[in-house]
Amino acid sequence: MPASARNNFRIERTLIMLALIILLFVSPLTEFWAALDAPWFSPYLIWLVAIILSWSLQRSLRKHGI
Amino acid sequence: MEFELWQLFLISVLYLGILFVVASAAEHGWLPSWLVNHPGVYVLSLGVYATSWSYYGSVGLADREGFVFLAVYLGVTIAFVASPILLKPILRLIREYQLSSLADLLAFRYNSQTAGVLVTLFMLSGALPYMALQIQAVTDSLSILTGETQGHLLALGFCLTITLFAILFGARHLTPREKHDGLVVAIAFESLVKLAALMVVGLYAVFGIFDGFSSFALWLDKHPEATEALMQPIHDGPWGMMLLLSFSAAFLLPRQFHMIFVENNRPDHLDFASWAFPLFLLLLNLWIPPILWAGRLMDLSYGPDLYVLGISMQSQSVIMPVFTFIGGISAASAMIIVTSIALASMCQTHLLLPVSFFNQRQRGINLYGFLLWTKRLLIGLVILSGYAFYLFLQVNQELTDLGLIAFVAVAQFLPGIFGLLYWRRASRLGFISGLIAGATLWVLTLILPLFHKAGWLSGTLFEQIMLPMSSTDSAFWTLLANSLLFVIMSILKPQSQQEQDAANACCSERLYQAHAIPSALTVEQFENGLTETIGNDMASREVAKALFDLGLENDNLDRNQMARLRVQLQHNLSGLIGPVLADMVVSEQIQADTTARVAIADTIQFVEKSLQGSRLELKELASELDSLRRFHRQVLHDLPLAVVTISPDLQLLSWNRAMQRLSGLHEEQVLGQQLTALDAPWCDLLTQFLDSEQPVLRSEKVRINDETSILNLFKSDVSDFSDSGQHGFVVVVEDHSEIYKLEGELAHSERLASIGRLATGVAHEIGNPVTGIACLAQDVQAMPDDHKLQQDSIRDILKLTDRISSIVHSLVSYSHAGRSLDHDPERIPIHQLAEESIRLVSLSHKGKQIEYVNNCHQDLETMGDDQKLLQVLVILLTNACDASEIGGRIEIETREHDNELAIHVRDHGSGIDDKIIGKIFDPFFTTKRTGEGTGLGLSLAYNILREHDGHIELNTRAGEGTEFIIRLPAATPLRRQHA
Repeated sequence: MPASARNNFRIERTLIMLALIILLFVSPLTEFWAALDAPWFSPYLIWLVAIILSWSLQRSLRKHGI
Repeated sequence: MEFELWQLFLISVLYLGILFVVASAAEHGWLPSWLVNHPGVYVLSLGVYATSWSYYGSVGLADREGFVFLAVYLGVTIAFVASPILLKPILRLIREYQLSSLADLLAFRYNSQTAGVLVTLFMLSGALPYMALQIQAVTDSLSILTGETQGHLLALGFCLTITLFAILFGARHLTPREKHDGLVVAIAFESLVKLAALMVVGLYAVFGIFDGFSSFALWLDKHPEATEALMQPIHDGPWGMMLLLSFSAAFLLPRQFHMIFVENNRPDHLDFASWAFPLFLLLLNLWIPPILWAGRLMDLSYGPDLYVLGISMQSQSVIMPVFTFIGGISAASAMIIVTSIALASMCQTHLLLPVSFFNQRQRGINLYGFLLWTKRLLIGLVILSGYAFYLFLQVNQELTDLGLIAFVAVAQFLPGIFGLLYWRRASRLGFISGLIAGATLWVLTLILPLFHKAGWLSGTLFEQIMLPMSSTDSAFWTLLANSLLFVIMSILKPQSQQEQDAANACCSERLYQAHAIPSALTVEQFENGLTETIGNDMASREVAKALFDLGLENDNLDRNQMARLRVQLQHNLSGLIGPVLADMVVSEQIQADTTARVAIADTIQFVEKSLQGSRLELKELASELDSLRRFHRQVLHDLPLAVVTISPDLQLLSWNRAMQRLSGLHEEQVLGQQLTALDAPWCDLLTQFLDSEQPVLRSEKVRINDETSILNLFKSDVSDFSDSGQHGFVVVVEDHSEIYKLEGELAHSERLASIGRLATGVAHEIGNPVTGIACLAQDVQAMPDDHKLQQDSIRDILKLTDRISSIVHSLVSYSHAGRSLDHDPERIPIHQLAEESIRLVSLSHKGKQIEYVNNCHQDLETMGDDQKLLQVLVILLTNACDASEIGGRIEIETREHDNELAIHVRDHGSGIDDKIIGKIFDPFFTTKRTGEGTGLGLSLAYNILREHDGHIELNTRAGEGTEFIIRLPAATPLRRQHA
């Protein structure tokens, strides 16, 4: 993959992941996982999802040699 | 259960002793390198983020603000997810320019010593309350465990021990290129201890207080308000602002910046950390809610900030409270150690050196020693300042409040970081004015109220002007003021050229950065220039280090190498004395030649590489031009002919695929190199060819990879399209070896064909002497007693056999396959050559009936292949015979003029028709009937003569005869002229 395409790929993928994670934490989606009757560990579950998304981003970038 | 103070003191000393051992083991190589360099160690070292605030204060924050406490770590997660576009670019800059701190980075980007000073002062102000928090946590934990209020001497003892550790393991090296492995491993060890201790307390809370997971779950079912109290603040608390504050703190806090960037050994460890570090933080914080609820259940007497310790004291074990205490020591000591090292580096570079650097030089003090010892001294001063802040503040402040003050402080650098990475137009004035505005509001809203609470401001003016508010509200207003001024002032005041250069260097979208060509012509001149400022010893060492880094020898460096050396020197000095001072020293002492141009080779390589790596999307015309550039570049690269392009400075600009195949040298090995640096034979071949006046070099024998090749070289000048009038070169190299071999085979075939045509004559010429021999033998046989007849007959027989031998020898020699490419040219006497050719041609039936006159001078010689030149004469004589009448005359004579000899072959035959003169040298052109000639004769003669640096001319008149003139270089100086 040419260097400029790799750059664009890196930026696009990172921005998409960032958008997803910020959506998880700072949007009306908090109404679901932070509902008053949600289990106490649900914030940790969402946090774990964010960590998994971060891991998959790194895996994807590594696969493309970035 | 309570402890004695001396017991806890001993435990602390023991633990810190273990820390020393761990750090020493890493420094001295007692630990295996795979462990020291493992990415997991790097991740754990980042755990320095979790201080006493996390260890103790998170429970307190959870009690007050519910799950908002998690935002302190979720913001970090977001920052690390953004690592590819946020942290990695910063790491690249730190490594490339050898920067040691955030102050270095921002001073470099905004090209301003003032920026560096402001950042340092502000960072120091924000860190002191945070360090005081750590010391307070340690003394509070001692109070809890001993049941007594603790004196401050113990805290001082703790600070002094930490100072020793920080000096021993954090100030061993001067430059950021040399990492402190011991420090990293020790901090990683402390993170493990913290994690283990919290896990133990958390598990005890679940299994010891709640009697297991099922009881715990049951308790939660019965008390839903417990979970609701944690969840509610997410919706109506300062959730978003806490995320932003922790996002900035994740990499802008001095300790975080130092461990993430300055002590980073390998960039790919940051990729691993982007998910592993948030995972570590998740595991660390998983236990906070159970600890909080267990503390509430037990109705502990001290505040939630100390539930961790309180719960562990309720166990019947001695070990658990001790282990928990040690976890607290780990959390506090790690923060203080790393923060003091980071701040000391900043203070040295931006507060101390700008004032004292040149004075030290004048006093002739060894700079390396000065830098090392001042750093150590500053570490001590910073820690003692933190202790002084703790001592004199004496505020019963929540741990998290002190921590948030630091968070709001570092958040003021966010606009500057944005300008660093993404906004090239951000200016020095914008950054400084934004920072001053944000810092002023920070002082008014957070620091003054803190002092007021400590009783320092009663009755003063400050009491009137302070604006107390929560940390998150302060964060909002300070960032707003900062960002507005940053943007407005950057737009209003244009940048200077130096600011633009610095902005281009930092933004990853830069296309090209030119290196200034220094005025100094030799490395010694560099050293002499630097000696004045940094001393002879340091100048020599730094120049040697820079040469080593670039892989250069101190041996006739060209201008571009000197330019690169200047840049590398500046980078290395930046690691020692900061980027601004380094730039000042290098700019003043190694001045740039403003009229010199950067060599095209350097430019082309930079532009090509930068275009390929650039994130910029070129639009419209620029995009079209770029596509055309790539297309033409590919055309050149894929041409089936070997092509080399050379700059006016004799640097290789391109070396296409065909040239790589021919030479065996890969493009990457040669591009950017000087022509003279190439391996044999290319260095001499190309250099001499470029020096010569000739645009073409034909049939050059060249030894490539132990084989001889025949090359044709063509060159052309190419303007560099500048006003300098200089030009580069394009050289096309044609491998003629295969064609040369084919031509040889063709010539051989033609010789065999001509021998075939001579067959009848040869048979006759050999038959006659054989008949004569037979007759003479019969005579001897008939008269055995006639001795005189026998002698005469034997003599005649020998003459006839000689004649036969001569004919056979001539034929064999003429029909030979041809010599190899390695054959060296020989001296060829022209007269003998002409005799031999006449002998061969005379073998034919027609040839015998022609009179040959050989007027070639006996002494004239040429250099070459005698067999090929013989073939040329045979071809010309054969044609002359065919054109002549029976009994006609053919003359061969030589003339000489100016080291050139001319061989004239003249017949008086039919001549050549004007209509076909232009075609007679074409291959396969013949006027003879089929079977009488191949039509290759004159074409071969032409090529053979060209190989010998000669040529052939023709004078003819129809009906009067033809004269061929062969011109060849003479082998010896001419003595006299011949007609």
